[in-house]
Amino acid sequence: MNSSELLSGLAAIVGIDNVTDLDFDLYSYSRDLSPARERLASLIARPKSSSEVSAIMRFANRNRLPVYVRGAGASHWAAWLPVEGGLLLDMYAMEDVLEIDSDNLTATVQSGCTWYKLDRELRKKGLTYLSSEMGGPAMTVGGSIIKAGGGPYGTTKFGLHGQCDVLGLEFVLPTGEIVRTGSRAYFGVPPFRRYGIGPDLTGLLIGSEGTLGVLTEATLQVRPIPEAEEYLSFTFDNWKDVMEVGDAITRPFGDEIAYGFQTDEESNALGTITATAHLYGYDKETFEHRKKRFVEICRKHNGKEADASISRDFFSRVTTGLKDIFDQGVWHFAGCGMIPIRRLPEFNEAWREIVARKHKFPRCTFGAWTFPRGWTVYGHLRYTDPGEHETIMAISDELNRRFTEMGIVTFGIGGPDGTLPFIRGRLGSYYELLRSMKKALDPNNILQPGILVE
Amino acid sequence: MKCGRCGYCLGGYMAETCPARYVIGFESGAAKGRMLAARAMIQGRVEYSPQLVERIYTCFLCGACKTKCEDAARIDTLEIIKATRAEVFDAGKNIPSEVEKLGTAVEARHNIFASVPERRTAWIGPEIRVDEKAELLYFPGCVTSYKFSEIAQSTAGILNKARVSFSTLGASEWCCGNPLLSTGQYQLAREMARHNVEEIKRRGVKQVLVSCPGCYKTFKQDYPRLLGLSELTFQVIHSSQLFHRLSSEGKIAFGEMSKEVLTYHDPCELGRLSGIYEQPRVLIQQIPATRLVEMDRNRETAWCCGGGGAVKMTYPNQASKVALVRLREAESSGATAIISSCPTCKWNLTDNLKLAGSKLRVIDLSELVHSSLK
Repeated sequence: MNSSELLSGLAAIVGIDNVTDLDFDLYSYSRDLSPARERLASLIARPKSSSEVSAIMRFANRNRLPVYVRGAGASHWAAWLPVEGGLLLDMYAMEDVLEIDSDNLTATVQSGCTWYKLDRELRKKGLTYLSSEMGGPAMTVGGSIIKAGGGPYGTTKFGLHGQCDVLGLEFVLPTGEIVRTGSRAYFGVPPFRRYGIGPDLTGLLIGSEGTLGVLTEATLQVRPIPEAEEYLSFTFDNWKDVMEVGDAITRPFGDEIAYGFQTDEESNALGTITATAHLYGYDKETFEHRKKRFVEICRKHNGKEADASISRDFFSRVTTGLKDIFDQGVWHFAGCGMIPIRRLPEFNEAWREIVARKHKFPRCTFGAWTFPRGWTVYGHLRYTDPGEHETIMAISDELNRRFTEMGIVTFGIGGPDGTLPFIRGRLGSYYELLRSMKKALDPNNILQPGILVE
Repeated sequence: MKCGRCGYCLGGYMAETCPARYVIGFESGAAKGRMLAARAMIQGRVEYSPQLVERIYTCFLCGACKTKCEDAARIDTLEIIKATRAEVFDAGKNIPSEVEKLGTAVEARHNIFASVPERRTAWIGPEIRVDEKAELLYFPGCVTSYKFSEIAQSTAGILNKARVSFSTLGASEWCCGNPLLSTGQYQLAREMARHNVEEIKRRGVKQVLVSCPGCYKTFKQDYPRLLGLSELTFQVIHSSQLFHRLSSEGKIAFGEMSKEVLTYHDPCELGRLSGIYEQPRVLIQQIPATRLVEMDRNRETAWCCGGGGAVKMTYPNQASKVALVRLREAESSGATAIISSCPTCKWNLTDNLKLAGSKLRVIDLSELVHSSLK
């Protein structure tokens, strides 16, 4: 089929107003939030339902048309930028909150729904997600799940919400079949339970980077709005102390206190580490006791109490969008992923060595937030002059290579402009199994080719 | 440009924040995509096709994206979008016919409807007292003068009742230039600005009263920039501000009205782009027996009426789609009438009542205030 026949074929599925191959449309979808270079799709389509996604996948198979899938486009590791042209699915038209079940404490959404929207709708019913993502209004539930995402809200009780709170999914296989997982797979049974029949097929999609199926719906565990909460800020002089705090507060698994604990250091102010915490709980007395214990832990490890408004501002903006984020230049993320709880100082030292001492890059942040027995770490480099792009790419590559060698579990791998070049060859038999599964589910290799699996 | 492609401009409700994204669907309708497309234009990598031009002119300039971006990169997205229109207009390729007609009308007759200049004062009936010279000058604007004379008559009636002396520019009033700025016709807009400012200065006016938020924003924010002035020699006030002041000073008072539930629609150029949200609401609440209810999206999150960015004139079908959303939202609020403070909002919402199957009434604040006076 030539390009105009492809356009007509897709128009027959989604309607002529929902497919485009116009040059300016393709450019408007050509970048994500990473330093990855611009990449253009050949066509863009906006499906409005799972059945349309299904029809698109069947059409794409018949025509060997590569398909890439994008939520709000805020990936910072080239998770959807088309490696070889093809069709880009913009999932934004599937952004509905389908059901909020106050009895089972679940919410079912279409994959293009943002965390911001979900949390706003939940709060109208006295519920919340305690949103973990910090992508502001532009981070979709689907985008988080396909990258096994977490955020600055780690809780000893719940774990990473983007993974552990997922109770069931609906996705479209690369060959077009629509699949539901978890208790939702039984007709008439509410999606209240992830495990039940056979292996965990929900887990198959989490972190798959969209390579094994197109995520269309997700059911998540939600919870009542906490009765007690408080924001606290501390400063620390070194990352060993910060690590000890993280170790101490994530040790009591199952503790009913929940918290957000995020900390960062600027390359132009080495040695000044700001930590922000959001404590919340469902029982005032228990909350006060545990808050006291949290403060004691910070003090024991040389934390100095700071202005709590720093923390309040940070956490209250996690879903609504951080303020003034580009004042020092456009952010490019590098060296992002998850590490075990006691290895934080090592990764900070590697970041300092590469960014601060070797490249002397003035506008960069190293940060981390806790999850049970681990940290998610991140770096962002901020450029003010497009001429700095090459330098940023070089630093980014160096950080990604070093962190991979040290054993980071990256948030996402993406394609040749993401972290794939550093990770390929390190995954052994796991990667071979993944390739076999990909081949079984996607025999024509049309879904996200070149992303995650080569 | 320091757009970091964070997507905050999409506002979290991706189909429900940006009206252009709502009607277009693709990202090139929203600010984030428009920034990337603008970059491709600067680099000469896109053709100025009819489709690109239509996309560029299908933005309502409502400012929702700009408001969101103020928390992130603080990019004046509207200025960039308007600059792409100016680029296309100057290139002269595939300009929408309605944009050209608009320019021709304003150039020849100094109003957007190509009507005779003398008709601009047709709203002044024998019952209205307009002074030859006064410190306050009333500038109704094109849409009020030629299309909704009842807004001008109500405004004048309120001023007469409050014994506030005012004059007008009469047939010497020219289009404020707002629709020209919205469609990339900067040179002609500058001519309008220069003429209006000179006429106003010549009369020794201290304050200019406007009914139209587009005129208000253009006078206050664009004229100094267009004319290279640090500030204007006169103050500019919107009618909702003046009515509020007259009420506060006891110069107007309200009588008994029949019971009615009203909702207030924030005009984009008065609310989000000028920060005036409360005075109209205070006034409505002062009127006995009326009850004000809010639509889900109000103040800085208010949904555009669909009439902005000259889309009402260039692509009326798109303007209708946006209006229908707002009318449904107003119906859901339980109100029986929508109050606004903008003739273009009244124009587009009224035009679409039938299409929406709505029995709502659309009333300008000046009409409400005037009809409620004791």
